[in-house]
Amino acid sequence: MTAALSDRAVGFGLAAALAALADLGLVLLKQTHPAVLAWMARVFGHHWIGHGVLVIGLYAGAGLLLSRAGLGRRIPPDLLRRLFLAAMLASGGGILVFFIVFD
Amino acid sequence: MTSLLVAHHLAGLLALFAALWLWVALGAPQPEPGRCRRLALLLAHLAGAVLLSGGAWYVLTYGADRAAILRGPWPQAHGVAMESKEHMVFLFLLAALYLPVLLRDPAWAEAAARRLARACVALVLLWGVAADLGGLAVDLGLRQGLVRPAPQTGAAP
Repeated sequence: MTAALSDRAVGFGLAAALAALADLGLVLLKQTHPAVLAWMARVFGHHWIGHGVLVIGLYAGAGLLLSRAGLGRRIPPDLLRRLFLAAMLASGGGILVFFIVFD
Repeated sequence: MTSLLVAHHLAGLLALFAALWLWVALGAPQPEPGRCRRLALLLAHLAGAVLLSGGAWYVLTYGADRAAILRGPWPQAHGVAMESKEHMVFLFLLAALYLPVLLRDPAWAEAAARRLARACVALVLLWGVAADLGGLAVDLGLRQGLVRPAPQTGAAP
């Protein structure tokens, strides 16, 4: 029997996976919608700063919320590892393919 | 501004060393909890330093370099390498930030949790090396842009 992780460890792990996917989503959104890019540049001073604030803010915010959702007993470490790897690799691979194809 | 770039490179190099050390420490038959947690904290701080120093350099000074790269024969050094690198760095940071949270868990030394921790470290190494190669491509693209800029339309040869 695999020992369960704490709600906090599972919550922040899922939040990191979500934030990784949001990283890809923001890239697609701002590169295909110049108005979004311009809005981020206007609000944050530079679009990249806005990108970072949103991704890291999502990680922190979703991590705190998901930590209270009691997911520790429901999501075993091996499932969390697979979700984490899939989200990270999909995001990084998606970013690379997007810029190769649309550059 | 050069000091920002030096800090970015040095922090990235040290982060990769810390990640390698943590990978080895997590693979030990009886991993030492204090060492693993300290290494994870060090790695998270170094990843933050990588992001802040590189980000400050990118926002404050990269514009001139980008213009030179785009004038040269390797515009993909910006369009693919730099654009990918500047967004993949958040994946590097996320994996590094999660490790101290995971290694504070009471069950972190269980086999399945250690596999998760090592997967995080592997991602830190993957995105770190990818960012390093991206930086190399940007440097080479900039050099090409400075040494062999494309002739201006209508300019004298």
